[in-house]
Amino acid sequence: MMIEKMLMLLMFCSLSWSCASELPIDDPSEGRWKQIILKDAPPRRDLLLACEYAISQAGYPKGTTDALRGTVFSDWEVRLQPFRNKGMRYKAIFRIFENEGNNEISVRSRVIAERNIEGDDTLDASAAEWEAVDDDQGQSRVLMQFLSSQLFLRDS
Amino acid sequence: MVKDWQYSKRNKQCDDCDYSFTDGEDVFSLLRMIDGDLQRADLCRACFDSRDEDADVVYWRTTQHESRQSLRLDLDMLLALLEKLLDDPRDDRKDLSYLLSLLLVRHRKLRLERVHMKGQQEIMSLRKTRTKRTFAVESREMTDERRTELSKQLAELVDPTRESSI
Repeated sequence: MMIEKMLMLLMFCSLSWSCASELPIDDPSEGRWKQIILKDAPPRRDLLLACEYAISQAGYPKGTTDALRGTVFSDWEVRLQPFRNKGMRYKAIFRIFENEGNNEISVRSRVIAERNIEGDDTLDASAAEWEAVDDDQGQSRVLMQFLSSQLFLRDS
Repeated sequence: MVKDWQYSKRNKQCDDCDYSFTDGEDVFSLLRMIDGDLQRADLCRACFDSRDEDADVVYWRTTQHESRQSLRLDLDMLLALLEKLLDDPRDDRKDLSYLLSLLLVRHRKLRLERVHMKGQQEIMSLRKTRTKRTFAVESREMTDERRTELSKQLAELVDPTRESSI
């Protein structure tokens, strides 16, 4: 009985540890990020707006902005395909980091990719079953260039 | 909203020798890069003929008219300028090409299709909107100071509301 209780406790502990260790998708240690560093950055609010605009220019659906955390998320951009494992969806993320020590701001971008592993209803988004694949670094680079076009030529 | 651009108002004197242009006289306008700085210059024929051609980015010939407002420059002209710059392998021209292409992306004259790596170098594949014309432009790593300076010079040259001292 004692052993059973200990096993249960161990399972509970390991479950809660695994839940706690799952990092948010805008955590810089998760996924593959592209980064630019700005010494002369616009105010934070303008920077968030520029990120939102870059996401829109890159063709992602409007998502949410967490101004406190400095993160801009797109909604999922879904590209269904008739064949299994070919349908994809993408979510773009920008996150702003302020380094008060040297007055620099870094902006990081990441594009999360998932593929549809549903075998039958491949063209039905509501039936799709998504599986994470590696981040799309090419799209992340595109996203960063769209942001650069907002930031580098602010006066033009 | 896409708006027409115009260069800074043309001086009525040659930028190199201070010769005063007369009404109806040919004026040679050019963009040139001197020590990494982008400059607009209006030259008389003599100064134009004796200029350092290596510094040229692009030039055109106009006529001095007392009544004429400053030369209007639309986005198509900026695109033509970019095309010309892309043939030039010099680093300062590549920096300018990069910023110019971002400007055209921002104003939706060019569509950024993808960014791929060529060795360690990022290359942007751009397409002129509503056409099949494509451009490959290097994504340039510049210092903040260099980028700010070049952006400022570019803005001074094309901002329709600004009068540059150049």
